[in-house]
Amino acid sequence: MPGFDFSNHARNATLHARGLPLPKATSTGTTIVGCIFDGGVVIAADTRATSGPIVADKNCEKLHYIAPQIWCAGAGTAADTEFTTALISSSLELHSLSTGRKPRVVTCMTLLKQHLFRHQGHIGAYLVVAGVDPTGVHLFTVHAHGSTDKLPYVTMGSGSLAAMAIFETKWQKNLTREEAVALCAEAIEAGIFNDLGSGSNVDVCVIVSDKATLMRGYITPNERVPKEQSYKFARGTTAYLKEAIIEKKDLKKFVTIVDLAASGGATAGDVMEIDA
Amino acid sequence: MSLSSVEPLSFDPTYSFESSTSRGAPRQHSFNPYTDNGGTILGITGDDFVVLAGDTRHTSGYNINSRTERKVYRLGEDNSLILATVGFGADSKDVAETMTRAVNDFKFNHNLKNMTVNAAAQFLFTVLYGNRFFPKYTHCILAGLDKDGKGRLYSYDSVGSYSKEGERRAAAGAASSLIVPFLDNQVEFKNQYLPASNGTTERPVEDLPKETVVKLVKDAFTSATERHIEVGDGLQIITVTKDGVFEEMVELKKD
Amino acid sequence: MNHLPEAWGRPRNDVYGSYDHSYLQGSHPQQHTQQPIVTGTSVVALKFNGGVVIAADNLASYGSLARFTDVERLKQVGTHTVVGTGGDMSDMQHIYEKLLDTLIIKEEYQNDGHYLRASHIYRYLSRVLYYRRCKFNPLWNTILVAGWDDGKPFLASADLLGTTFSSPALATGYGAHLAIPLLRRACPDEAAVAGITRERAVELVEECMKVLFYRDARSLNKYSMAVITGEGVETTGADGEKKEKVHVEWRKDIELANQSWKFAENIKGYGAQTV
Repeated sequence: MPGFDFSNHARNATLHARGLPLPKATSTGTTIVGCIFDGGVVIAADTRATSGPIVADKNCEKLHYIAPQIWCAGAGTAADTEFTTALISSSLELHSLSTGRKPRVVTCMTLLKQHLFRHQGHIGAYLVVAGVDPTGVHLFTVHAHGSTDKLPYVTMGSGSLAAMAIFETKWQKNLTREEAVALCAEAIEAGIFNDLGSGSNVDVCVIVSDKATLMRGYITPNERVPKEQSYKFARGTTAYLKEAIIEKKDLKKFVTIVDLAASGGATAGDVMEIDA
Repeated sequence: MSLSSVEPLSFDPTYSFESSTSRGAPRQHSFNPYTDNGGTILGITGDDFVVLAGDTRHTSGYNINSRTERKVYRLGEDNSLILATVGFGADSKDVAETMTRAVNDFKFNHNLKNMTVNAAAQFLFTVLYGNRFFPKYTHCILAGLDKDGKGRLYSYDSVGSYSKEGERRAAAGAASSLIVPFLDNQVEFKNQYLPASNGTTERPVEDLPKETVVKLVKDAFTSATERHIEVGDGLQIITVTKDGVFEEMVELKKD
Repeated sequence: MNHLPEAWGRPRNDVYGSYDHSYLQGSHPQQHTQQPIVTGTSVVALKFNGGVVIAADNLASYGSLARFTDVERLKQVGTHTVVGTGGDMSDMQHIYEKLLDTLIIKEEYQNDGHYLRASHIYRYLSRVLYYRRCKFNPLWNTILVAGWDDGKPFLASADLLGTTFSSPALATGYGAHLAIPLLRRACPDEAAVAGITRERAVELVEECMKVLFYRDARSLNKYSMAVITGEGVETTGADGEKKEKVHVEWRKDIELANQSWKFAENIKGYGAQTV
């Protein structure tokens, strides 16, 4: 059976009625924006994910791939934005393959709104859909209940008012690519510094007729200052119950060892912070 | 609706001879007299000094009201008493004001003798418990030097409960759940054993030097700023030693 | 005679029967303001080098109805201060007419050369608001107090709970969401105030009023603005001349200028429509 599994619904409703609180989902209390310029469209997002007042992720990705020239910025429940965009990306790819044409932004927007409307707002995805297709440059917003908007500049999320204030004072017709990127980044920064739900860095994605450019960490205005002192503990500070020393030659009994090129530096993804 | 809710001027049911029964009748209100204005405070004592610190962000929901609102107060100009309050901003400031006035009045009623830190601590308890049935929604940390010049620190819940012995360290407010475990480990040396003892002897607690304490305070706040949305903007650190009361302001992240 | 002074000279119950309160209020509980009825929206204010500018539109809404379009929500209090109020308009009028006017009249009776400065007005208002919330009978307002105080510009906020704070840029209601990001960009901290001229401050606040009219459904395109400028501190020279000079300049019935609706030109539909 495709789709969602509702078999626990009655049980959960009963538990909730008896006072069991609902599990807290990670939400991207967010600032996301989009803006059309001459020949393309820009979308941008902050990178803070929150769980209540706690920062769950300081550098999460809110710009989601849909198709090579269609990207989506997501606010709301993190899981819903990620899963919904992936789902629609998949359908759009199949649709594109079966028609033998490039996917269109309106198609993506329509698939999203029909999916979200069907679930009556229970999928908490608030999206900015942007892209370039054979019919031109497009920018939409899609709300969790399925309504859509078509505007030359849009904002969503908890920082949408801060970002919109920037657009309302500085937006003008016929922006260049550079102007549009700068304007979107400034709108996101307004969200980062004035809305507690938004923070950390600015991610930007520029889409033009022949390609999309994702600029992860386009601005990083919130670098952490170094710690005042080291918190490395003296060896033996933690009590242990049992000690067993496994030599490297014996290790093969437990795991498979593959030697990697000792690069030391560039590894994929973020490097974990380790105290000196 | 709006007219009938206006209270008639100087209408008092007990005005004439017999008292009315409408007083004390159940009242229904949708007005919520409390809010949370975020922020965090923290205090650590050493042997002959005490440090109190608080961030300077003042919030309402997802908004920042002010980036420069201080939470640590001196209770008088020529004494060692300092108070930090966090929680509902209006109640917090009211408690700080009540304490400042009480400490000041005490001085003029007692031949210019300053209130001792333990007396101020007991007085703060009476102030908070006095509002037991309409509590001041504020968490206080009171500090100062005692008669022997030792650093003293007292922390309170919103209705006044505190320990007369005082504490070595305390934290309250939005990010207290993040900071308290850090302080347990770094000030009280909880979960630390002497390296040579093979996990048999706990690391003994000792007074930390002032420089280390200030470093711990800064690291506690920069870390809380990373992970709690209501903490940030600025950090106010007040240090009390026998030489006086010193204030240091540090920038925190503003996102 | 009854020993209670409040009973002296009153009709006696044993002669006239007990007083009939029913026309005043029945046995139902005493009601306090539980929600604002006629409301005003944002107030916006910004400090600059030498003063403060404050603005509020002239609309009083009744729910979503734009009920009164000629309401003045800014008020000069004494010589040094202008206050601006958002929230319930009847509570605002009570504060302005019953509290602040009385306060100033009482102060002027003294005629002792002392006058209430902005910080005094602010202190008074925040205590009244806090006192009323403690009585479970709040004045449903958010108030900005702008003025000149002790040789410096003064700007602070107080609300129905008695919550108080100060910042070089302040705005209430929707302004806290839409105007503050714009004002903070120009004036992030107290140090930045020195770099802001009066003209720049007025321009910024005008910009904010425009954005608020675009995006706040309870706002109006007509507003008032007051600019408080000052020089020096409250001292008197040897010749008895006051060294402090404070001036309040008013602009009323300002029509919102230079609106832009260009974005609307090419919009067709909200989704797949192209015509």
